[in-house]
Amino acid sequence: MTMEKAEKRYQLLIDSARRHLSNQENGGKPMIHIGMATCGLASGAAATKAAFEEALSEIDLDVGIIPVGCLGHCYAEPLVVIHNPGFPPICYHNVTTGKAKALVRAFLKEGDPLFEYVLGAMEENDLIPSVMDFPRFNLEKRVVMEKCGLINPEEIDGYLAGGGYSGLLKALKSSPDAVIEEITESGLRGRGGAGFPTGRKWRIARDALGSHKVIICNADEGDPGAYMDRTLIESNPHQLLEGMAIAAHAVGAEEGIVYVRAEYPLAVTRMENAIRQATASGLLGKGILGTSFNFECTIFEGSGAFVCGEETALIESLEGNRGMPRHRPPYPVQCGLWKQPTIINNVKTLSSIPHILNRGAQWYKNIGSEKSPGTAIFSVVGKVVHPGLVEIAMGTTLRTLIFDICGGIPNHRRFKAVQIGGPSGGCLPESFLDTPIDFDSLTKAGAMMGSGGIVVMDEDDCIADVTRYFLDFTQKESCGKCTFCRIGTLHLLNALHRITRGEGREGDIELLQVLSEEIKEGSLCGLGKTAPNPVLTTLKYFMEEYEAHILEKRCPAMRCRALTAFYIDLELCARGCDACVGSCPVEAIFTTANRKKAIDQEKCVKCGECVAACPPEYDAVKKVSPPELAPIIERPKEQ
Amino acid sequence: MVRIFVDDKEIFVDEKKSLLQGCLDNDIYIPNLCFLEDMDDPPGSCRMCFVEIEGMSQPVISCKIEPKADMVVRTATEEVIRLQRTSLRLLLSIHEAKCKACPSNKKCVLQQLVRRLGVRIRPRRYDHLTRSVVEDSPHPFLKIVHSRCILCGRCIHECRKQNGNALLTFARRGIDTIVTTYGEEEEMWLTCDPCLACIEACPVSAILLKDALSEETLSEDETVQAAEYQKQPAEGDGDVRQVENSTAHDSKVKRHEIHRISAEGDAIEQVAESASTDEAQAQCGHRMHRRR
Repeated sequence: MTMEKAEKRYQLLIDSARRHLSNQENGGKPMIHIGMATCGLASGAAATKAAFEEALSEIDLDVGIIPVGCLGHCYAEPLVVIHNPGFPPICYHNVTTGKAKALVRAFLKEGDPLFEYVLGAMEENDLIPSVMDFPRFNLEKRVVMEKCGLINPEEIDGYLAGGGYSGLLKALKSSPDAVIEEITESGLRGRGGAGFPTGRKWRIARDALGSHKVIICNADEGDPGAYMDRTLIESNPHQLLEGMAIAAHAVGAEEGIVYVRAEYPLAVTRMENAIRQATASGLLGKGILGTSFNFECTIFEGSGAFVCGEETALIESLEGNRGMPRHRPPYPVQCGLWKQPTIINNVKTLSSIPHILNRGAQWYKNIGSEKSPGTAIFSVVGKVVHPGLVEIAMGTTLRTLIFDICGGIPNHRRFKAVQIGGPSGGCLPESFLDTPIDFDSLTKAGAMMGSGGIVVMDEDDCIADVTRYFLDFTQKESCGKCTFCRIGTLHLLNALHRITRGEGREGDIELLQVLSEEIKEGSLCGLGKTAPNPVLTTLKYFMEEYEAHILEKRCPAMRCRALTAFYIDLELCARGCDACVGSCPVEAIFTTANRKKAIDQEKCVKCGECVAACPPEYDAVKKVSPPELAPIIERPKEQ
Repeated sequence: MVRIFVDDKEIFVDEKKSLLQGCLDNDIYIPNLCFLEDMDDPPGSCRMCFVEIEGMSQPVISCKIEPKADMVVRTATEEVIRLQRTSLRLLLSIHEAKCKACPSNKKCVLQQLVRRLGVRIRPRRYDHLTRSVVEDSPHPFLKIVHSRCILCGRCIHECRKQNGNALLTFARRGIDTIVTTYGEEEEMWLTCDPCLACIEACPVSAILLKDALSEETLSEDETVQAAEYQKQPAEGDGDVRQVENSTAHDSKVKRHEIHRISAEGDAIEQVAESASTDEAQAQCGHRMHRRR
């Protein structure tokens, strides 16, 4: 009886949401969707929106502007999709204020879609090529990100109108055990990094004794270059809330906490907004949809410690203590927040839940590989043509991801390595490009799934320098609790500093190798245990680069300043040209006796400005490593 | 009580207490720094009390293990000693080992571990690093010597025990992590005056009364000597030989001990390391004597 009521209430919500949306469109007026997640805003989406508004007010046209989330195509931000009746919805890339004004005049007023600015149409049609013709779109498999960038994350209507919260309704109709059974059957594994089966975690929590179980969503995303969780919250917060409510129903919890970094202010605002709206609609709070199920959700803003992404440190932080990891076992799922059974799931894990309930475990299992079903979301950054968020089916190879979907390496450079899993992950060389992306294959290769940051490097990136960067990060973010992580990583970092400065010693490689393994064995928490991974994998796959640094004092990528030098090739340098002289910030360039230019190596700070300044037809400034290779040219005596 | 086997010895331990406690109760010493008997939930942070347990793939810290009946434990396998040595060397690599100026000299847990594990007080495997710590504690009479502190957290535990809420806390991150007092108001520290449990708890004299520290400050002459001692190269065979000669008188017994626990291959190096330690201590003792 209550279930029928719940269904009726849900239907009313959906009807009202749809009515609301069609009122907004007001019988087919043009609509402009602007991607206004953090990435869009950083690229100037707010100015673009203002430009649209200004241009529209000038021509007095009734057009709706809706801020939406992020499509994941960072290279093309600010992204705008224009729904103009009579045309398919068209996606425009890099819409600057000028383009915005031009679009209003030409497209909305006169009906010329300005093909030169078009990225593609959002649906198949005869007029404009669809975005689905491009590999950046059609090789993706969008499940969790399906609605990202298409709906307004600030209003619940968009999510409801597309059938949102139907997974929750379905869960309420079945028993908690059946929900856990379904999740177990789907084979979903935690997307936070370790890949623990979600169904099993829920089962342990369900069976654990405790009067006040808690669901925590871990949105303390801190890897350099990773922003999947932020985008998911900013673009579709209700999907996450629905997943949390389902989890709460399954394990018997009545409280939920979203642990999100304070550095994600927009995500925090949108999440707060979403909680308020869902509570007002009866989808959260007391007696959800008229049933006896209660679920209150709150937000906790983390203060920006990377280690608080580790679940035990996260709990300490929630309890008001300094975020320092505890020893596991006991695992939080047995004894977590305030010693109660606590489920901690990642944003992506929880966001997958509604889809599994809606479409069934079997459907989910058919996506991805056998041991790692489903999709994975990566933020692919670094040296790729089309960086951004990519959702792919598990089992897709790295080659497909980097070269087909993200367009390969720009400027005709060669691929060198890819760092998967952020500072805890590993660095894989070209020979691993055909590795399928799933939990087990990546672990086998020495990397890890991590939370999903992928950094692509080309031949201009120095492996030792990149490793130093990651170690610098983990050393600074170590909580300082255990000896191995606090002091051990510092010794690793110092050795890497030495190597990149050309002061590497003979025993340094051995020190890196041995100490890394001991830190891995001896550390208390996941941060320390994985911190040496970048060192270990680069030593394994790029030993020759380390040796070049230490033995030959040569940086193969010519990246490390101390190991490189610039010189001007006198054969190529044009007599009388002064282009480089003005560009040098330290006045290191002088005129030789025969009126050509040369660099004073003593003064040169190796900024590379002269390379950029030298006209391409001469291309006379050369970079060498080791620095001794640069010919020394005497400065002519002052006359 | 359950029966377990530690290094082939049969002992009976309380299964409600940790394995480390059980061993210590039975006079089986396992190196430890951050553990105190009355801790409900030891922090497990010093990474010293490693043991190997049959059926587990790698060494585990014994303060976090609940003893189970018929557990077979080894406290001095090659793996265990290797990790303990690394842990100790790492601690020493940022520890200001001016032993002769330190109130903990001769009763210092680090000195004991140095001897037991056969590590140099100045480990040559790692560069010695000096942390630059900016002093910010406004505490009226407590002084924390960060260059000595090993961040074991015993002081914080004791403080919490005495005051309910600890007035001491860890602060900052990474290598800059320190123990410090917090709060600006002097009233907060009123309880400190009769208590001073933190000073008592510190195994390396890193927390002191401010006046005690000024007494301890070295005379000019000794500062120079201390600096020289620091500069003494820890590396080089010549150095070691010299050390061995000078300390022949009392290191025989200790050599014996060290042979017992050291891993086979590098026993000789270990002896040398221990010898240099002894020398350092002999020197320290000597000077203390002279000072009096």
